[in-house]
Amino acid sequence: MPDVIVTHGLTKYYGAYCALDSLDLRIAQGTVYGLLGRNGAGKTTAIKMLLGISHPSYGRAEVLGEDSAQLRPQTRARIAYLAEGHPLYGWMTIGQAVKFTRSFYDRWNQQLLGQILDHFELSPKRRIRRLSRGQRAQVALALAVATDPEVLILDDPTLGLDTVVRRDFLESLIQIIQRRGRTILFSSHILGDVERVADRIGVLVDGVLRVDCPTDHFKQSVRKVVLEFEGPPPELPPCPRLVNCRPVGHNLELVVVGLNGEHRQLFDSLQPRRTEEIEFNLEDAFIEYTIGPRRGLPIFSTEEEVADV
Amino acid sequence: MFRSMALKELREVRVIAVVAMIIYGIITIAAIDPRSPLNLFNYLGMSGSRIDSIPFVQDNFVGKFYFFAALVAIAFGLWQTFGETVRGTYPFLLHRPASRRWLMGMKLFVGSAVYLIATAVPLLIYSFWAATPGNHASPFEWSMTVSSWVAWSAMTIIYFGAFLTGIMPGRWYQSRFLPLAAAIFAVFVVVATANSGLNGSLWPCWIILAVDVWIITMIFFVAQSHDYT
Repeated sequence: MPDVIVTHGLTKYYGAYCALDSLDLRIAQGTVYGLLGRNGAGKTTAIKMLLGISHPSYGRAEVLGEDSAQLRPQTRARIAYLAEGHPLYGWMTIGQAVKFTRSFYDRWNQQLLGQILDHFELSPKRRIRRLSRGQRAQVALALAVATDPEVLILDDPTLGLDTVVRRDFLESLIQIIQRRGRTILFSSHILGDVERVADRIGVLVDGVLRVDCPTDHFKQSVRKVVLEFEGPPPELPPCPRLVNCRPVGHNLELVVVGLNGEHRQLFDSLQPRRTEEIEFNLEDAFIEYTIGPRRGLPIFSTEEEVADV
Repeated sequence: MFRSMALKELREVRVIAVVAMIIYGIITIAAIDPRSPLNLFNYLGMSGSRIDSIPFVQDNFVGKFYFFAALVAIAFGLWQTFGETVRGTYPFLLHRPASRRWLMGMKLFVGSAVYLIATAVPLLIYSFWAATPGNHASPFEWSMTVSSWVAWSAMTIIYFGAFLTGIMPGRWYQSRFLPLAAAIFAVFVVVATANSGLNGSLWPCWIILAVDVWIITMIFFVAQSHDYT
């Protein structure tokens, strides 16, 4: 599968502050890629640069083989984008928003748009300013999908939506994904959403892409090891790929990426009374991974790097 | 695409256009019939009715017209640009499959057209009133209106300056405000020149055109290179 989204050392500075640091990313056609990160990690900055809405300080980005800073209108028509907060013109009715958006596109799936609006029970006569946040998201999604895009880029699409609306929104998204080989990049900090739809994830920590691998692989790679001792836990010797180390009573709680024989040997050398290995779900793996000492976080980008899990 | 974008811009500036027309209407009434109950300036203690009025030379109209035309130009320019920033709609608009130059060009086209039409109406009404014999006890030549028409066209500099300020990066009290401040200064110079010994000459129009083209070029450059964060 060819790469649809490619970035080379994409970097963004706001004054002296580095919002995104040398992002190297390749997203193959048909991939559903979840870009994760805490607030201010650089997700929106990266997405805006991918779409040429913001300009990189260094590096470059390509979408559908074209430089993001110089996207031609024809290429832009093949990319749908849902910006954070689903900005639409509040004074427009849904019908007017459809008419306005449609006028820019040669390819427009009115039938699909109608189906989505019907599904969400949204009348074209309703004024956008009077819609709830969830309904706005639904309209924005319908408008984006009606263009029959090859690439769909969503910036925190479920932000601020209640659980039921979020679920409904994601169900629609899954249906859209199932349509022929679409590539979807979406950022989120709701890990449950990502877990449901993304087959690959990237984790940005302070503007640095620390993780770029299949979703399941990430979950399996981050493990917690609890070592129980008779008395106070001893000092831990230098340990590779250690994300976090917390003494809790007589226990030593360790979070490790790519737990392997070397780690186990090291832990055994401390002679714990008991050793317990705990698997995480995506949310816990993400929290444990990003909560640690950020600069020293181990980076892993392929399955091979931690193949001996 | 052209029609949709034009209608969108038209819909967004129409409130300002309507308010401007009301203000211009009051100014025109105040100049034509200072004792009219619709002359709201009377209630503000600013009647300024003159016995020795000479339209376009010594009257109640021109000064107020210049002042409000400049305010309306600023309102148009800022509303069309800063309004998108406040509503957060730039990402939606700029991702439409059209070049940024085309999108900004459409904004400028509609904004300047509506501004010029809305501002020309009161000037035309006042000009025809002044040209109609019996309405005032002073001589009238159409050439007397030229400096006001020069000022009318000069206000486009302020409109474009405000537009540029609206999309400029930077802080309001620093570089961002600079285009608008420079535009206001340029209009002062042009209008003062047009009102001086060169009254009746159309050459300031060429300067206005040159400045307009320069600011529009800057707008396209900034629109292309600016980060819409």
